[in-house]
Amino acid sequence: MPSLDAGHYFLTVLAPIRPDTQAVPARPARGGAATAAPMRADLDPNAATAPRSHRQLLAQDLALLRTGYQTSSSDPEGPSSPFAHNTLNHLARFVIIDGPPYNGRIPGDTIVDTLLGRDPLIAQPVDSLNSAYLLFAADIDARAPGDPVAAYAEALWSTMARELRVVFSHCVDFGRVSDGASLAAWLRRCEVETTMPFNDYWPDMLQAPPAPKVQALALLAVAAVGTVAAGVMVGWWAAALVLVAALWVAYAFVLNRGARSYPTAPTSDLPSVLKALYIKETFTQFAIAAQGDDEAALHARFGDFLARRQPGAPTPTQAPGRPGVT
Amino acid sequence: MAHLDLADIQGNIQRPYGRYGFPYNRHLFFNIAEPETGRLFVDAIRPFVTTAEPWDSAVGQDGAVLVHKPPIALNIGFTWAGLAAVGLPTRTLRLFPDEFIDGMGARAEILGDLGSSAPRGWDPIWRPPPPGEPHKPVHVWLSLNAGALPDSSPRPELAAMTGWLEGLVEASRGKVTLLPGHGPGGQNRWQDSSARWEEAPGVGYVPTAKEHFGFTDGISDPIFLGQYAVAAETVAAVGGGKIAEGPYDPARSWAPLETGEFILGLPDEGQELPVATMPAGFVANGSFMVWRKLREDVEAFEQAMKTQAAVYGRVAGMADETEALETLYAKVVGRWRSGVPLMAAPTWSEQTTLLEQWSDIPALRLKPARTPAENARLDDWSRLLTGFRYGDDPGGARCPLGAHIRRGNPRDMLDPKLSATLGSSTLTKRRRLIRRGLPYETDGEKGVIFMAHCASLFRQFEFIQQQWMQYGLDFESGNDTCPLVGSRRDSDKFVVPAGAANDTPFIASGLPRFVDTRGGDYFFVPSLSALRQIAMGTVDPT
Repeated sequence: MPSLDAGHYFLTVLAPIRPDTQAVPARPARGGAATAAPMRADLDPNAATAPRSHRQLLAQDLALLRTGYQTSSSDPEGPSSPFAHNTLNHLARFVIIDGPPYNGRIPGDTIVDTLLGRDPLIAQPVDSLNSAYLLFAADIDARAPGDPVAAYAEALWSTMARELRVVFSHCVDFGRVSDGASLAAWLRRCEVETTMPFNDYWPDMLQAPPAPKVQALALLAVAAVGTVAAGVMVGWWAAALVLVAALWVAYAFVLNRGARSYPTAPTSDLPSVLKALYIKETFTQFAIAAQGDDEAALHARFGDFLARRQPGAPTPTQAPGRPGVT
Repeated sequence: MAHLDLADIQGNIQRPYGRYGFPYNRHLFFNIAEPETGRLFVDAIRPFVTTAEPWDSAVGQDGAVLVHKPPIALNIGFTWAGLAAVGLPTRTLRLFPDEFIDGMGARAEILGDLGSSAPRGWDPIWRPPPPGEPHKPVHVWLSLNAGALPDSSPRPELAAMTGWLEGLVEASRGKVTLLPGHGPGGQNRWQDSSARWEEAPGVGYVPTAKEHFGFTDGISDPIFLGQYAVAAETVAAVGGGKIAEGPYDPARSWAPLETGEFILGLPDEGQELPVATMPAGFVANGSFMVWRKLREDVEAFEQAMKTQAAVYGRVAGMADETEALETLYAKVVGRWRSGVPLMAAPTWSEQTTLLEQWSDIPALRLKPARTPAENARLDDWSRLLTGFRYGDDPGGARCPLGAHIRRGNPRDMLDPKLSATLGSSTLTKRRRLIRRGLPYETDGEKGVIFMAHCASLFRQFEFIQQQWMQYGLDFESGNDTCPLVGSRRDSDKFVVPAGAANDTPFIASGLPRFVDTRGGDYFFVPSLSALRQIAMGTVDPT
């Protein structure tokens, strides 16, 4: 299954956004100027509560959701993304998808259109979605036995249930979600298969086991011999039949191999990646400080580095969502 | 050779005036309060604008020299607000690129002008005034380049021309203002810059190409098609042009860059016409220019280099303090302070030997009439200074990956096929800048007035500044910035990989910021035809 690859699960959720409107108290968005006096009801009948679409409110809530430390203009001291409260997700993102982009008319060839009697003045259909969707995509660790989505849903619910409610309550049917298990069930309902996951934890490539190559060669030999034999013994139509069958077997073989999950890359889970970043940074500090040391001083300094930074142990390490060693 | 209408192109794009006998450069900035008066002001200056035509060589039908070298080279440029102030049509104004409309101050985050370089600390001319005072932003840049008298002082025409400009301002009855506000207290009415001088025995004072940190500046400028005559172009293309795909051959791989990388209205390296604005006749033969005043903290630089060199000398096993210090200087920039690139001489002793072999060069340069053999020797020296590539040094053993010149002009090093035999500049040739400028030293502050010409401020200047000077990923250097001009907000270290000079790597750390921005803006440097259109108010002739 392509959603699961190399020990990581690539969760893609497309949740339909609620088509109804919601009455919200008429107050400025967070950070907006406070109004001096409340709006008089005789001037605006919607003064107390303003009807807003869930699409609008979702966009506003996402704009207020804290992000990770993504750019150098992010506040390194400020609160970090709620997704940094678990140690399962490498990346998580939300996108509102209103519909397919419209590329204009499908172009045609004037001569062909004239011959086929197509009238260029007749409008072509324009594609649209049945509703706006919220895309939630997360790259998560899937090393523990069991359902990775269930484990992730439990982790999310126990660390950021409030934020999940704020975002997902604008989506269809989220109202019934009340715990990790029901969140997992809801995510599964909205899930689509991730057909092209991207994994960069096998930098030197995985050595392909030799067996498939032998199998493929054997298959090729059988197909060739079978085609020739059928052609000689029965006739050309039998040869063609065997050839088509062989091609189909080869196609199924390739697809079957392609659908298999890549094995888990060593130390590619989030805690290991964070520890690696931590060691990379602290070792650079060590290397800078050790410049010009004599052998005895270098030995002592490295001993101190090992004792303080514990390269083989899970801690100390770098906190998720926040670069740098504190 | 491409034929350019050199008489329509402003001369500062074509020539580094400093090398053509103009060691002084005075920058004056004006504000225009009324379009009509502004156009009259432009029209008064228009006849004196120096073009890119060759001096004292082109001869007319009657045998007389067509263009004499002027005592003052004058050039003019406009900010976007300046073009609005002289009343350009809305269509022309709105189609200009975003970064030009924004101006340099608004692009501070992209340029790394933060902290001590942030616009709020710039010279007063570049900042909004205190509340209550009228805001007069910079609209027009005027540059006066002047020669020097034998005692190294500027020729009197500089003061005379300045006085003439002041007269124009006076005649405008307050509609054109010569903007003061240069220097830390804003006390200066213009910004002067000049070459640094050196006393040559028997000759007197000669201008040098040194900036205040002691490095030779402005060596490797890009060369574009049509910039020089064919023979000169062939020499200058080596090191200054682009490197073709295919096996590297120093004699055949180099070619001049397409003119449209620097001059608008002509095809560029993407085989397109550069995007600037409309109408095309207003844009053609113009160029965009970056003007930046960069303060150099010479004391901090020398102190930090000394501290680092003590450790570097220990790591590299150099007993000689001067060797350790000079080698570290060279590693930071990629050239020895003499200008010799690390790619030509990776160690102090090799540089010393090389300079001895070429000790005749300074005298040859000063010689008024040279033999063909002497000219050929100067060409060879120029090739040695600029005609190198990084396929010979993929790991930075000679020239560190993060060194200043490798960042500013990575040549072939970003080619994925880079090897001892292959390497082209396909991924870097659209990010070149023609650099102009001279050092300044006013009110106890030292630095350089940096000017750069390009067809796209965004693609060329801002990209180099943001991705190559203030970030290190393209140079396998993570967040490390340029050790010379970089901000230190995200990293304060610089890695010198192991090589001939030091057989183990060295990491300089705790570097302070050495170069701060004191002000500047983006200017459009119009063609002579466009200046006429501005003056006549006929940019949109309909």
